[in-house]
Amino acid sequence: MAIQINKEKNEICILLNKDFYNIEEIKSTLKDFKEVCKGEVKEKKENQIKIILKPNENSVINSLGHEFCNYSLGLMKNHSVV
Amino acid sequence: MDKNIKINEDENCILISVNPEIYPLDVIYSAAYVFLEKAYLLLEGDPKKEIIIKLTAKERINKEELKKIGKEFLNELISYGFYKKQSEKNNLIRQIILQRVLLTGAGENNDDCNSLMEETEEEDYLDDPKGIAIPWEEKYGDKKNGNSDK
Repeated sequence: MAIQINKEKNEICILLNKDFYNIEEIKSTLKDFKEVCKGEVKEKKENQIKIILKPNENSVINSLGHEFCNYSLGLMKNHSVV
Repeated sequence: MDKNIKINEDENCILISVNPEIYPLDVIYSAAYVFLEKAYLLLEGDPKKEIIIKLTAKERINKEELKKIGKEFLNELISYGFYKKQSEKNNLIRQIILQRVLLTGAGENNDDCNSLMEETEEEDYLDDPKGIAIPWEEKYGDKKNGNSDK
């Protein structure tokens, strides 16, 4: 699963493939989401990027990970421009 | 029939498998962008062999509707794929037109443009070389008494 939600820790863990998601775009997504959550981005060896998000409010925990990925994908599209 | 579409009704999602040789990554990004409002999208797989797009509907929908979204996505892929092919085909002619436009602006007509600008800069707004400015008193004033205060 690319998105894992840990409600006890109030934490979302996202694993994204480096071939499809650029780390710079993920960082700027995190910057744009700073009012909703705190987080960190780690580059993993297995061609993956690990993102850990800690939402400021519990109510958004189910959708935040998905919205984060959607936003990153939108930035990737703008990056490639077709 | 739809071997590249797999529906998972329990997870409210659909997995679409795409061949990157037919649909390049930038075409997939563009098609995905259209669906960002309707669904949550994730890209997985191998960018050289097989790209898997996971579309999770934002609202709970049935199997048929999920299938419909999947097919709409495939349509978008074709649409953007065609757009990309056309824009690549027209790339050279677009460049030529743009070059021509820019050169026209910077070339022979530029002298005319500069002289016009110089003329305009030299003129004062109070000048009336064609004699079209008429004083208010002359046009609307009391012509009998020559009184302009009325």
